[in-house]
Amino acid sequence: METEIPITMAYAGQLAGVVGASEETAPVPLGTELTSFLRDTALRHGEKFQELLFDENEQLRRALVISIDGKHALDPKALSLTKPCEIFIMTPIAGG
Amino acid sequence: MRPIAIISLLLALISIGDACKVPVFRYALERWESDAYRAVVLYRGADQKSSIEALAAPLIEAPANLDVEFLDVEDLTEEQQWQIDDIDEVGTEPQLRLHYPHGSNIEAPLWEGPLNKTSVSGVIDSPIRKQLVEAILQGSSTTWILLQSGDADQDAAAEARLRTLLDTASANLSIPEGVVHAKEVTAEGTTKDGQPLEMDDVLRTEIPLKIHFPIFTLSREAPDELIFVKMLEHFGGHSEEPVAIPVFGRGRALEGIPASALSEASISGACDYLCGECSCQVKDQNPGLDLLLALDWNTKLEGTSFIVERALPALSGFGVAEPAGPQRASSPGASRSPLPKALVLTLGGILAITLLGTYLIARRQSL
Repeated sequence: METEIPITMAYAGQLAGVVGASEETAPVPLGTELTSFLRDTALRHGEKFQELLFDENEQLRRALVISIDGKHALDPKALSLTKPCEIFIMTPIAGG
Repeated sequence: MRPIAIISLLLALISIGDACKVPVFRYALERWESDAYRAVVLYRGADQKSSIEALAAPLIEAPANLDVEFLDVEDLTEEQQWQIDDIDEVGTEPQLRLHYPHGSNIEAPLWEGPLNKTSVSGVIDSPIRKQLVEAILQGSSTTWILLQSGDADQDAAAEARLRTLLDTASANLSIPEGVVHAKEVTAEGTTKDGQPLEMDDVLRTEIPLKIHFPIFTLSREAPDELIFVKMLEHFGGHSEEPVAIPVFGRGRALEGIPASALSEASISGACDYLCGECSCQVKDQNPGLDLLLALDWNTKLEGTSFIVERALPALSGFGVAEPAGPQRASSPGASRSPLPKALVLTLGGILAITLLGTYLIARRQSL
């Protein structure tokens, strides 16, 4: 059976507005790539959430600040989720 | 994979490998120009022009990141008038509309009202903005504006919580290793112990480099701050809760964090980004939006800046070599890195074009 770990997403600003909460926790298969986890999270929360995180080429937006347990992820595309943690994302300020 | 995605990936990889040691907050202060806000003065009739220009003169003269436009609505064609919202509101009284910088993609004015001495001074500056500027010039890593809700208990609790979280973050953070003070650079472009260095790792000013996070509380009702409070709305300031907004560099603000989202993860995450190595030196590829502040940063920072004078190596193979002159620290050509940045970017560009060409040829052949 696949091992799952709890991952907490902390939201502020625009993301909190879209989700309607400042925090949520979900079980995730051990070793899931961070990008894949964020893609799944975006699918759950709809188009606006997806637009905030991913560009038109479905790549993670460059100007996001993603931190894991309070540490800024310099290269989020290279990361996998290997232990329970709290992920916080600041979105760029733009658009009306 | 689509060609644009391949190029994006390559450019991203190049940037990641190119992180500099100067913290983001300091890199932004020394190297990122502020984006200009736009003040539009709308009036009706040429007879008003001179008096309006005199009233609006401080907007033009202020050392702020602000462009000013004058529009006589009577001079506009019907088509041009259609492009301006609520143009009918411009009556006998001239109007002032303040817009975020173009890069924000926000067209609607963030504030509009009558053009008068109060509105002009409120657009240009305000007491808390002066304090922010002063704190940044004193070396604060990031200043935090706590935009109050108006509920005294909530505001006090949010301030105490933010203070605790910032103290925790400060205790766990340090300036990245490898930051070089300009005084430590030799004429040969090495450190004093002879190590080669990247000029992007060199500080350009004498402003103290430290981890320090002051908090400035701001009431939404402060009469002198009404326009600034409106400016903060897009940073999460529309929330009914207290909101903590980090400001760094030359007044660049990040998305605000409402009191309900104040946590170790959010505050330490933001502080770690701001105090960490600047992984992407391109301003537009970093989060945030500039605030409107009344300071000519280039002139102000010039007074504290270092110029690293370096002897250039003698030219060979191109005729008579001239004696080398001094060079500014900012010159890309000054780098003595084993693999100069320009070379890396050029090779990356060639690789991207080659891949794109291969993809297009393969695609044509498959049709």
